[in-house]
Amino acid sequence: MISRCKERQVLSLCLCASVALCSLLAQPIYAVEASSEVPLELLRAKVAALEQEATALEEQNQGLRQMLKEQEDNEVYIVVDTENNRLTLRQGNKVLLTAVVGTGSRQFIEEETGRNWYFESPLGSLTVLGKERNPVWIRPDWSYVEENMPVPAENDPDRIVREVLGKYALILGNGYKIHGTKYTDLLGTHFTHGCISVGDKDLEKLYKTVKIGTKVYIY
Amino acid sequence: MHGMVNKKHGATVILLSLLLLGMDGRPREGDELRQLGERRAQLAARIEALKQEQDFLLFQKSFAGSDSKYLLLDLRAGKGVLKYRNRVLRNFEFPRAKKNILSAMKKSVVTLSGKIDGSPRRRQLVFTDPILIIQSKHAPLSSGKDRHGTRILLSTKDLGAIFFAMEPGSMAYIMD
Repeated sequence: MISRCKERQVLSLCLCASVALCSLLAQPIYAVEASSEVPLELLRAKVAALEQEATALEEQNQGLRQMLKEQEDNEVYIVVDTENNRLTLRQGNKVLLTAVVGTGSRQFIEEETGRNWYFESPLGSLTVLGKERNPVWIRPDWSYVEENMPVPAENDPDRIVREVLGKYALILGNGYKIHGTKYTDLLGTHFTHGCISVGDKDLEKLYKTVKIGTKVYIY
Repeated sequence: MHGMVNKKHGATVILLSLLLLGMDGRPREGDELRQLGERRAQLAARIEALKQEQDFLLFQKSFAGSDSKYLLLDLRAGKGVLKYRNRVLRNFEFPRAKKNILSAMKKSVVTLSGKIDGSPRRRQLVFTDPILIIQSKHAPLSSGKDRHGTRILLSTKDLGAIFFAMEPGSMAYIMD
């Protein structure tokens, strides 16, 4: 009976010992894998390099964003679409006013002497150089040529015409203005000699909102 | 009694074995490998996104002092902007692009290589590369060999405005 028990004990000990031995023997196999530190080290290095690259890109983008933000402003500006005869008053991404306007007729006239004019609104980036109340129109030479009239002297009082440009005008330079018109029926068409003609209500809002120095983009 | 002893021995040896298994270091290294792999994938995706953002920022920067007008086209949202420097000149909308077009037109910069003038409905702006054509939604549909590239269909008014604002060499940024 005792010997049987001992036998059992020895057997169970052997079994347990073999399990323990197996687990110990298994270790070197894992150890070989674990000691293959090259891929792990390589991976660590790669991840560290990627971390650095990401940080550098984030810093660069931050700088670029900052630079672009510094160029942004909250200034009001005017955009004129000469193809569709529309004026938009904008502030950042907001549209403050959309107006139906008249722009250059894109017509060509020529004087007998060979002088000629092409009536197109000036395209590009302009600036409001001045603001006028009750502007006066000084008739240019082409106005007489267009009507087959003799061109008077430069300072002839006949050139001064009142109440044709509306109550207000924004001066863009080189004789171009944003002003009112008597020909409101023609708003939305190409009928001017290059100036931007605007209806009375829109013109008043423009005049009150816009400051000298406001940018005007005509395209 | 002996059975109890045996069981105790057995349990001890098994626990010891498990303990020894845990000491080989493998599970922890495995965890680290997995974590590093995940981190690497995350970083790669982040870097890709940052590079794309940087492309867009550099594109805008290049136009900050330029006299050229340019387009930003969001095909997914069906929205576009005509810009000059940092100013919006015009916002416009168009039908959203289908999935196959989105995959073909990933984020990229295209250059206006040709303007086909004619009646307002037949005007076209042709950008390369890849080919992108902006035309009126009322334009006659082309088919077969004539139908190359991705097309953006605009209202005739929007097309008219953009058509004359853009010059050959002008650029458009395709946003994803």
